Formats: sequence, structure tokens, C-alpha cells
Amino acid sequence: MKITSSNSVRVSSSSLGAVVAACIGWLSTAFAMDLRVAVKDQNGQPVENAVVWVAPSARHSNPVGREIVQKNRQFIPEVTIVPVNSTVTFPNRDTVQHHVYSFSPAKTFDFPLYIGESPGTVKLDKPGVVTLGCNIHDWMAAYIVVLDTDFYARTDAMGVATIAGLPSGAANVQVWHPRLRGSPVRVFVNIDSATTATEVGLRLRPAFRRTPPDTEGGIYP
Amino acid sequence: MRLPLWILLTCVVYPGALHAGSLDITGDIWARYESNISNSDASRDRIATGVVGGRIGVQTAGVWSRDWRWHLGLSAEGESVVRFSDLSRMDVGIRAGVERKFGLGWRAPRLLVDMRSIGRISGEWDSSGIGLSPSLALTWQGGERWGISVQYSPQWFFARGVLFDSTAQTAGFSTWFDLFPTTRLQVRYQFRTGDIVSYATPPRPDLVAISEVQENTLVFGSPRVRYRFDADTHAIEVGVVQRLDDRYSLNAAYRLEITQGKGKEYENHVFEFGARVEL
Repeated sequence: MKITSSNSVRVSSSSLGAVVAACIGWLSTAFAMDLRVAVKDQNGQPVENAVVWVAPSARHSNPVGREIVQKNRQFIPEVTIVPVNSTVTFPNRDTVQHHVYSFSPAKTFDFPLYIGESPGTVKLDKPGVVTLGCNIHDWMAAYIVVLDTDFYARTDAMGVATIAGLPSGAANVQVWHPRLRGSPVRVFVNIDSATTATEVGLRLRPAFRRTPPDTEGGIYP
Repeated sequence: MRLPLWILLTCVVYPGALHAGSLDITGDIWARYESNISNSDASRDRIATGVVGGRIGVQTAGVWSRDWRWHLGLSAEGESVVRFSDLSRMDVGIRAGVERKFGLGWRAPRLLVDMRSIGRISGEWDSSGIGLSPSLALTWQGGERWGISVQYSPQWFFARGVLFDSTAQTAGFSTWFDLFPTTRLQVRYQFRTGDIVSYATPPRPDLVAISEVQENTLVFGSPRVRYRFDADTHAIEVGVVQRLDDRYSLNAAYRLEITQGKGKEYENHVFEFGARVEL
């Protein structure tokens, strides 16, 4: 925008484009809508830690940095959601060693035997699910869901996830959970009100401890 | 309860493991029914009875490298045999071993090399002694719910009385399957070959002919002769472990033991119920 000596306002074409874009951005924010997804299992019980996202997204996803802590021989949190190109560290807050690894196609790595700060940072440059394990404690498991969208949320203890700031129109909603049988569940939802609510059912398998009987092996700290 | 006292034990084994250990305490109690505790092939000599027992174990363990781990444990175990207190016993044991893991992750096969030794005090003083038992076990967890294991173990027992000296070898196969997240089914087969002690009412010239050692006893109240001879035992066990929470579990098992040796054969049916706490 340029102010001339005659006090009239003359607008160049590039400035006009910027103004239009800003207006569209403002309008889209002003009219952004929320999607509330309730996730239940095959028994009708609310499912916590389910990952809900809308894909693909035109909105640029911003990489973030996250920590997945090992405490009391567990990964905390069990489920982490990050956009593509985010980074994750794995500090060990236990008094015993851990050995974090992943065989997942989305990211393969391992950090052998350490205590304290994370030996390194993992950059997650491909979308997908990264399944974490500990080579010492077989029962330890956690999941990083790497998404190429910024529209995502994790269900709470009530099994509800809310994704804010969605544009109106048809949305391809996907839902995943660590105990889901098969691929993510897809549903198409028409976002047409300030808060659109929908419900998704998942068929989950039971959670097993995956430990051999201790009569045949040592109990490793 | 995980105590920092593990340092005392791990320092003995390997200073580099100082960051690797903790102390695990387990307690077990059980009650068992045996249909043929007298190991008798003649029906008139078979004696069924109950056994109650308990065990407390303390174990520490650590990690040397990605593939190597070690463990060290102490235990005290007692069994009281209903009506026949001479057969009751108290064991104090030590266990040490290493485990080699072949690869990364929870599905990697692992080989456990173990050495166990016990000191035993029995109700009958002559059957007290010292036992030694190294073992090898190869375990593979094929899936989240199941796995298999094969084991081999020679066993020696050096008793105060020569009749209770024993040499045996065992080889076994076991598998487990999680029916539910808290319910595990276990099936085991074990073959044992070595010395057994059988109690019979004389005269038994057939047992005299095959036994290496024999002596009179009143351990079952009436005069009997006990014989030691070589025999093979096939045992198959089916058991269920029900986990109540992170610390407590219940277990039940049935085991059929068929012993054969030098033309003799007898069976023992064993039912066992137990509870475990892990601190």
C-alpha cells in the first residue's frame, strides 16, 4: 500500500493480492469450525489415546519438538502426535538403563543402553506410525503418529477429540489407535456448523503384556 | 518394593552393571495334592497326600550390553508334607546366570544359561544335602500372546545318606498362550532320566533285583523298604496363571507323571494351586 501526495490511496496489484489473502485468512479464521469426534470401541466404551486427524490438509504443518520420557519402566506418553519433520527426544528418568528402538518403516533407529538425557534426537520425516520398544523391558511400548496435517487431536479419557479451525465442507477424517485391528478407520464428515459432532467405532484387540514366564528367564530391571 | 540394595549384589558380579540393577522380591505359596508320593508301582503301596509350601526369592539383574544380561538370586523355600513330616524339607538356594539375546526387540530369541545350587534340610536327616543344577533354556516369543521354550538341565544331589544321592537329566518343552490379557495358559512337557526312590512293602524281589541301594524305613508309619533305581519320567503339565494386578497372581496346574524303568511303571497325578506376589 502506498500513500500519494494527493492523499488519495493508490493500491498496487501486489498489495491488492496481499490484502485479499489477508481477508481470506481472516475470514477463514473467523468462520473456522470445530469437529468433535467421539471414539468408542466394539463394546461401546470410550477409547482414550485414539488419534483423530483430517487429511490431507492444505494448511502448512509446523514441525514441533517433543519428549517421550521413560519413567517407571513405561513410556510417557504412550501416544504422541507430531507433524512431519518434527523431532523427538527420549530422556530416561528411571534409575535403570533403557534401550529405545523402532523397527517401523516410518522411522528406524535405536539408542542403546542409557540413563539420563536422550542420546540423540530423532527427526520424523515421513508420515506413519513409529512403534517404540525397549530392548530390555519387553512390555514397554509407545507410539508416535507422524502426520502430514496440522488438523489432529488425541482422545481424552472420555474418548473425545476436538479438532479446531477446520474449513467448512467435506472432511476425510481418519482414526487410529495402538490396539486397532488393521488400517486407520476413515469416515467422511460434512463440516457445516460451528461445532460438528460425529462418532466413530473402533474394533480393538486386547492389550497383552508380551512377557515370557519368569520361571524361564531372568527378571531384568 | 524395589530397594537400592541391589548395588551390593551387582558390585560383586560386575562393576559396570552399577546402573543396571534393582532388587526384585517374589513370594509364592502353594498347596499340592499328589496321588502317589511313595513312587509305588503296586496299588497297595500308593500313598496320596497333600503338600503345602512357600518360597521367597530375591533377585537382582542387569545388562552388560545390547545382547548380554546377567542375574543373581537367593531364595528360601519350604514344603511341609501332610501326615509325613519326614518328607518335609527346607531349601536355601542361590541362582546365577547369563542371558544372550539374539537380536533387537521383544521377539528376539534368547538363550538362558543358569546355575542353581541349594542346601537342603529335610525332616529325615539322611535326605538332607546339597544340590547342583546348571540349565540351558532357549526361549522365543513368537507373538504378543504366545511363545515357546526348550530346556535342558543335568541335576546332581549329594545327600547325607547314600540312598538319596541322585543324578538326573531333564529336557523339556513349554509353551504359553495368553487367553486374555490377564489369563495365561501354559503347557509343559518334561522328560527326566535318572535316580528315583520308590517305597514298597516287602517282599519285593523284583525291586531288589533292579535297585542299586535299599534300606528299611518307617517314613510312612508302617515298615517299608525304599529302593533307588534308574527310571525315566514323562511329565505333562497344563496350567493357568491369572494375574490379579501388577503384583498379585494366582495359578493352578495339573501334572501327569508317568515313570518307567526296568519293567516297572507308575503314575502320579499332581494338582497344584498357588499364589504369587511380586514386590
